Amino acid sequence: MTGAWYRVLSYGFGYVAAAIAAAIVLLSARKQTSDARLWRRVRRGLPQAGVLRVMSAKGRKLAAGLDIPVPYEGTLGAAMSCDVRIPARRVHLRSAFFWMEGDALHMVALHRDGFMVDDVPVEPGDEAVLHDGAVLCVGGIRLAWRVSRAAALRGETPEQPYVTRARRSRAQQGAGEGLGAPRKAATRRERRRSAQDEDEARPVYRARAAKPGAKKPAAAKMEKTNKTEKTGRKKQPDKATKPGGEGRAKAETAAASKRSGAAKTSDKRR
Amino acid sequence: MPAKAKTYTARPASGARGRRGDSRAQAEARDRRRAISRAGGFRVTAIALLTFAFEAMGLLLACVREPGAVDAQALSVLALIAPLGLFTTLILPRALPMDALLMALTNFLCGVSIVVLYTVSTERGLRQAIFYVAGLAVMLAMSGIVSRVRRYKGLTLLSMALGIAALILPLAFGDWRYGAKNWVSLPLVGSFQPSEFVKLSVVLSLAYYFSAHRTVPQMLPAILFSAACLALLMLQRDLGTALIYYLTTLVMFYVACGNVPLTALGLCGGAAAAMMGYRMFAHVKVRVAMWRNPWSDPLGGGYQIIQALLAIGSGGLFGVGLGQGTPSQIPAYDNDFIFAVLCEQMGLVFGLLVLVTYLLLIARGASLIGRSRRSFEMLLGCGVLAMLGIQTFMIVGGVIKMIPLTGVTMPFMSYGGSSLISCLAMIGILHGIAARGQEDMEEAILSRS
Repeated sequence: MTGAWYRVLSYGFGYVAAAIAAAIVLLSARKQTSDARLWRRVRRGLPQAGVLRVMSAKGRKLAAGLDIPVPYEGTLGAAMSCDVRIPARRVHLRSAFFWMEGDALHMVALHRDGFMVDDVPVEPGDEAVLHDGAVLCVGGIRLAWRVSRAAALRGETPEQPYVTRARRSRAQQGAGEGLGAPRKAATRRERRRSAQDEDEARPVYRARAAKPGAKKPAAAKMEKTNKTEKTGRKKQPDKATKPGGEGRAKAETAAASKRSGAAKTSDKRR
Repeated sequence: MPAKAKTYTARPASGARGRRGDSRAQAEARDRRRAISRAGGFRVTAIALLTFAFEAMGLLLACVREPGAVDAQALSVLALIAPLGLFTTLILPRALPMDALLMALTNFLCGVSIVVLYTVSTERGLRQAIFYVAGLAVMLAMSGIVSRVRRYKGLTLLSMALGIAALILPLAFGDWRYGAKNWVSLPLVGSFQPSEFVKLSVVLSLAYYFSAHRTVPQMLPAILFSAACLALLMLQRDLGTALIYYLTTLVMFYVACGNVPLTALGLCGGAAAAMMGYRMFAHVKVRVAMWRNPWSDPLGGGYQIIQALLAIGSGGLFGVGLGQGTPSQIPAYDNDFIFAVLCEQMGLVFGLLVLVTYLLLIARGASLIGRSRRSFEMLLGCGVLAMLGIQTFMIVGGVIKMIPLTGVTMPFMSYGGSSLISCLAMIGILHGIAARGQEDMEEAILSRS
């Protein structure tokens, strides 16, 4: 090929290359938009982890009965960047961090004011486990947690409804550890304590079971013990107090045995 | 006059649309099948074929460039990269954790790079093709790691330790090149830039520590690691890469916690550090002066920018032709100023379309990380996209004199094994995140049905 022919062909290649690049750009943009629409359509038909139903609202933005979809992991607060946004003045910008484990919603407080679950205060350092029907109160706004059917089908009923000290403040990253995961020694101690006899003398505080005809729902149990209870024993009070129907809601919080430097030190170590 | 009675004609019953409910259910089922399908579709196939056509035409032209001679090496490069591009776009995503559209766009950019580099320098083009093959292997490995590994604590700590050690290597054993000591020469391996690979460990550590409870004290280990990397890069005088690390950290910090005051504080700190760098380093002053007026020293500091601008201008809309022009007039034409060479040979229209392709790549990555359920994956993808986007903006902005020039490479385009392999590794991370999102969607669909 002579130089002149090469110049002609290479000059023409510029036009062809521009046409090819334009076609690639258009096809990619079309594919991207159609994929985005497809995923939105599919996701609309699929529930998220659950919903938080507004029970008592204040202001125009939160009407009672409004369902706020809850993803499988994220933050809860008043900020626009939060995954679950609760636009209320008394709600802090980032109030809590939550994630799904099985069919339960785990939540930790990100602000010193914390929040309440079934009238039980949850302070920073504690981890709340919300089952279906639990009532979350944050910034004066009461929200009822309803787990989606898909999450409920997929989830397994946890053996220990309480979050032990070994599992406290654990961010869900697959099945592994997260920031704040306890050391192995702490986990071994926890397991030894859980295998000990239940009659060991340690202070255990439990909310009184609701009397028949009582107006207020039974409050969740509060424990100031490091020991975890057996599954059967924990479930019995719920069945006794619930009038029937599907399980109401039980939110358990694992409170530190010492709300002092020991718990806070372990938190700081995170 | 009596009103005309309305008549309702029933729709003819057919197999697919007998009832409205059936057609909706079928449409939903079809949507779900498409959502979990790994095939790219006819658009991705078209993109792959267009890329193949571009590479074939470009390299065949390079093959007959010399009058009366045929460059067999160009044919071998074509035989290597063109089928590989088709295979990785059309076949591999069906079997491995990959996203087909992302792969197609990546292959197009790499193909453009190889074609342009080959016409500029046959040796560089051949080496770039080899780096491309090696980069694909690294990409598949990263994709497999991200899609399968569930525990990242050990990997994060290891990568942080290796990252610090890798950045210390150039200071101890490195060579000074273009005013920076960021290259290391090893026997059998050759020379490489450790800072290109430390990008991955920075992104990983930031994503790991930022994806926990997102309180500022818990983010400190990652912030300290990033600060240590910045300090080591400042010692190496690799200010461009340091700027990329810093901006990526800032972006990930804001995405993780949404703390505007602290982010603004970080931005102000960065601006203050930039002012200090301007006063401390003489070459920074030169670059800023040449950015403001390159004609003040046309044969010295401003020569590179002037030649690049002249090259872009002389290319016109559709270029002077592949292999034409005088790219060798531009210093560092094969790595930092490859965009100017591209605009000269292929034209401004093609150059703009390549930039739009970068935007589409980032948009695709953003949509893939938006599907992830876990904050760690989302932040990891966000860090990768921030790195790619910031690096592209910095080099293109420097070439066209929008911002002062920094010594960074153009992702996928610039000649260099370290740069190409690290960029493909980052694409591999995005593939892995896409695969996890796909798995979650499949699980959600199956649990609902």
